[in-house]
Amino acid sequence: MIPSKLLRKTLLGDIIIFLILTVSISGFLSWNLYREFTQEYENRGFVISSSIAESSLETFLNRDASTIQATVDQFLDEDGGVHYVFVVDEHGEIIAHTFVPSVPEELVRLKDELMAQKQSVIEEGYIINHLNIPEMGDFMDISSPILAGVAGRVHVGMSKSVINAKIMSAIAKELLIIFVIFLGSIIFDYFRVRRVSLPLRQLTESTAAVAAGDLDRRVEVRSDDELGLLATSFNQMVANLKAARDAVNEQQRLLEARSADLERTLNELRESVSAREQLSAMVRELSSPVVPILDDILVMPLIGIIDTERADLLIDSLLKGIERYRARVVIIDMTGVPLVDTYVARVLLQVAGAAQLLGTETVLVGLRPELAETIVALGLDLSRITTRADLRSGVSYALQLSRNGGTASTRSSAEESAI
Amino acid sequence: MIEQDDVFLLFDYVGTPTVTRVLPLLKKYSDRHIYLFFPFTGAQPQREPPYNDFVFNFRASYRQETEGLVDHFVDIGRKNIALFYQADAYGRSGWDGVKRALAKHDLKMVAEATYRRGTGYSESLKQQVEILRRSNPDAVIAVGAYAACAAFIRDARDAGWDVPIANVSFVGSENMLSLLLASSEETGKDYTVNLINSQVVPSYEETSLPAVQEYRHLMDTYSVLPPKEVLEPGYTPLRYSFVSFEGFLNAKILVEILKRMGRIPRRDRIREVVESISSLDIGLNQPISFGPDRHQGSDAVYYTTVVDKHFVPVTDWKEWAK
Repeated sequence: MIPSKLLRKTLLGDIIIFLILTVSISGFLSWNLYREFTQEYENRGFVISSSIAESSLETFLNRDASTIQATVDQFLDEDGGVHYVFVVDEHGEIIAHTFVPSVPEELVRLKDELMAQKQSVIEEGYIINHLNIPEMGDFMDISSPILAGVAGRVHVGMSKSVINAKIMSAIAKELLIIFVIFLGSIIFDYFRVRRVSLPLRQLTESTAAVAAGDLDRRVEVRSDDELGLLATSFNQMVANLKAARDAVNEQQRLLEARSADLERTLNELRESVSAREQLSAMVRELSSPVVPILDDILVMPLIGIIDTERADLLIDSLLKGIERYRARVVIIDMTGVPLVDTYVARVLLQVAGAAQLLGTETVLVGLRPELAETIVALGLDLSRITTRADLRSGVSYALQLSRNGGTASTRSSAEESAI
Repeated sequence: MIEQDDVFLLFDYVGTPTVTRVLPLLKKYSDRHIYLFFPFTGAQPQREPPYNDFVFNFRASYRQETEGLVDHFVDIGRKNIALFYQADAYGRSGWDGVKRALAKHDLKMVAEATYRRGTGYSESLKQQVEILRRSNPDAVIAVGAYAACAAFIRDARDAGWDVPIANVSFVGSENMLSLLLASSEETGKDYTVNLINSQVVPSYEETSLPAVQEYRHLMDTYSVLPPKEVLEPGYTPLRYSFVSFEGFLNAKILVEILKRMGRIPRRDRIREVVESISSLDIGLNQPISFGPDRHQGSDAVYYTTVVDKHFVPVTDWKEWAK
């Protein structure tokens, strides 16, 4: 399993704290221990030297070296740091010592120095000297005066290496404890962070899954802490999202249904419009019908009012009829037309003009008296169009014209109109 | 022993540190009249106040032994004397004796070296040999136990140093000699030359003495091993030795004392009885006397040297004259 970043960070934090703790504790500890151990050893050395000095006053005065030696030997305790003891008499001679094979020169020198400054030394009481003896190590030499110095001095050598070893062992023990605590906290943190990071990872994965559209994803709620709350909120959020999406889907579905309805309606509408248009075309067609009554004679009966639109249709269908039936005569029956204005008159003239260009003569029939009156009143000139009273006379004119050919018809038409 | 076993008296303690440790106890039990008889040491504490009242010695002291050695060496012109001694109260008492004896002649030790108590024969004492040899002494006095002293002698001789070396009685002359002889066999070198041992009893070879005759007879008749609890494997008791001869003499005097105590010995009478002994003949051609101011039976010191693998009395110190 790849350790999570959270775990790594936490462990790194642990290590940094541990290092700071270790360095500061061991530093403080060694300083403190050194001070305390040194003090303790100093005290011990002082107690030993002064007790030898005081306890054996009688012996010193008796000058019995072997008893002094026996006393001195009792206090020798190398494991306890008391590495040597020696006694100097008032002449500066070493009368008992614990050295093998001989008293180191450094101590002989020290003893001589102390003897040389005897007076001031007496006043000071016990004296501590720090010295290094080759092949023996570092020592703290503590010496106490015998009979205020008049009978000599007792020297006790406390080994610093023993002090240092004790300090090191104490520090080692402390460090071991710190390390064990560190190890414990690492393990504790590992599981604690895992407890946090695992649900977080599940949440992350679930979020990704939700982002990818899986709204049925839920996370397990294992605790009632913030993480549990987060998991609950997540689940709630996903549930809400799902509800929202379902609502949208429902809306969509409704919208689509409505849209289909509308489409259908539109189609129906389109169909009805098209039907109406067909109807309207039919009406239009019916409103300007071209009826071939003979091979080259067309009749266009007009009923109702002729407006602009109808006029265009009229021209169009008449010209198409002419072309289609190769008509020579077109009879326009105005019997059904209630009203004629200047516009209608111009249309009629345009029709006649256009037909003439196609070689077809236009005959206007069925003009009712009211219409004729209007035409005259309006001052419309329909003189270029052949007119007949009714359809019957118009047909007979057409037949006549048809029989005589086109030119005669024009002439005859002119004649007839002249008539 | 005093509290639980209620012993009548203490007898034949061996070694200076052992005895010096016991002395304060003797003083403490002085009201119960506990006395230490004939400790096997020539150290000074039990011969001086405040403890001399509670101890009766037979042998001459280390002071007397070392004084005798120093006097003889000085006599033959060997004035520069160095000391090799055990780093404890025993060695120190020898050191003290040598120092005093030299001071009498306005002399000082030219060098001194110690060794740790319990040093075995297999250990090297070359360092000590070097320290002493640096001062080029005329003679070396050794105050130690047999193994260390023998090792010192071996290392000195191996270094080509043939200075006279004198040991005191406590050393255990026979044990020392047997170690040196064994080494001589190995290397072919004679380690016993210029060797002098001071003794506090006459040589057991002096068969003219009645005490020697009695000792030899008893030793030949009875072969007694130490108690099983302390018997070391491979230990074979010496036929005769200065040590056992001293023990024999100690016992002989003690028996005489007990005889004089009467049928019902009482502790409070011990001192009175012993101090009354005067000119007691125990077969040494030398009377033994005690008194209120004299708690040491003998002042005699005997000198021996090795001739033909045996300790024999020194007849002429001129042999080592410088």
